[in-house]
Amino acid sequence: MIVTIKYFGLLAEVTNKSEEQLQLDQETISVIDLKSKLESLYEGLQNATYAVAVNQTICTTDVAIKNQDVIAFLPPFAGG
Amino acid sequence: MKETKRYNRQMALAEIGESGQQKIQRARVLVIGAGGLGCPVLQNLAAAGVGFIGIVDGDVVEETNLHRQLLYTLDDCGRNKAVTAARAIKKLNPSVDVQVFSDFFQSQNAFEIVGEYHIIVDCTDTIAVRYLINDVSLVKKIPFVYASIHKFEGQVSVFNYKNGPSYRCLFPEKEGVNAIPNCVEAGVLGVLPNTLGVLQATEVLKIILEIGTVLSGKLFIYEGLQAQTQLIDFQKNPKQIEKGIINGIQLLNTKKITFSELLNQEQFFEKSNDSNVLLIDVREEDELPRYQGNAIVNVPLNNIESYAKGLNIQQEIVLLCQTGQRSSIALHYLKKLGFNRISHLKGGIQNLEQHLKK
Repeated sequence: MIVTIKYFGLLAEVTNKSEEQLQLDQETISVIDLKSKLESLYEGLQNATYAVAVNQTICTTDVAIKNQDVIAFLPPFAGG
Repeated sequence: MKETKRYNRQMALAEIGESGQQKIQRARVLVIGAGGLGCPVLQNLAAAGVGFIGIVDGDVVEETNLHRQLLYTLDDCGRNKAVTAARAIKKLNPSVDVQVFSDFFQSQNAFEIVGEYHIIVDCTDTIAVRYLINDVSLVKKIPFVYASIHKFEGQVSVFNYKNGPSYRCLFPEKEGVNAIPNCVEAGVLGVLPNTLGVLQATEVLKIILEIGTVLSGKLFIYEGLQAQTQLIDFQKNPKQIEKGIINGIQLLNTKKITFSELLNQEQFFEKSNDSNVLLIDVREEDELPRYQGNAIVNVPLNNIESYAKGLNIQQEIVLLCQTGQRSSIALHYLKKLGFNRISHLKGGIQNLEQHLKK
């Protein structure tokens, strides 16, 4: 399956991209498994705080991600 | 209603009319932080005719603020932001009542400041303060309109609106969250907070007027470089709401530690023996009698501001001078710089003379 990941705020700097498409062998993956996959790919994500949205809805970590889903990694911002 | 001419164009909207304008006039809105977001929020709420506006900020205007904080001019540098912003919006719309809090919003003063306000606008730049605002807003059952920025991006949402989700539901509190950079560390394009502040003001007016769809349970994201926006939905998390309420109520029930700013002799000696307290003599170096206490630094009044800039804002400070007048001025300066654990000796060193002679 193919999923699109969008990185916001500081996470775009950590991964050096604002968006990427990821090809995965399995047909579905839970949010938590996707997180750990990406955290091993980008070390900077490990200590980051962020919420995960699947198709524009914030999800708990057990939600299953499917082919063509769009996943957003959203950190809180501090600036004001 | 007086001055209807000023609001004529917005009252012409069927959704507002005279009754809507009256709602705006009766509204009490507290704006926490008068910086990049706070300036456009204040400008727009004052212009719209919000009847009662509170401004909270313990910071002073700096030249590096001027590219984005459009209420201030070069002449305002060094002045407290809440005081200066209040003056600016009063000029913009004299019919607005403004309450100034020239302190930072913190757990000791939070409930007192929020008082009878109907809506809080979060224009701060520290994550820890957002949790505090969230928890106070939860307990007081009033909504808070949030925005925050990072470089070219911004987020807007409304929390605790009619029992809706909290800030904690979106971003549960975690250790290390405070490591997230603010504008000072990350940099910011001047127009960006203005865009976001205007969106916050829009949400405030929607809440007051009860029109449209308030951004409750929705996170609006704006990205300036690609001109992209996103709307993300999120749900209420009962555990996080409970956590916020527990925190807030704990805060409410904590006996208020009213920091006494004026010390009598006994209190002064007690403080001067406390090694955590920094004792500052603000007289000139040749003035007598000298205080023969423990560690004491001599910083003449003229130098106190530059000296204090090198100190931790949480440092407890006790000031003294000859009669208590200069120490009272020094106390005022330090408060403006954001220090809040400061006190001074009543009557000055003259008051201690008898004791010193013993």
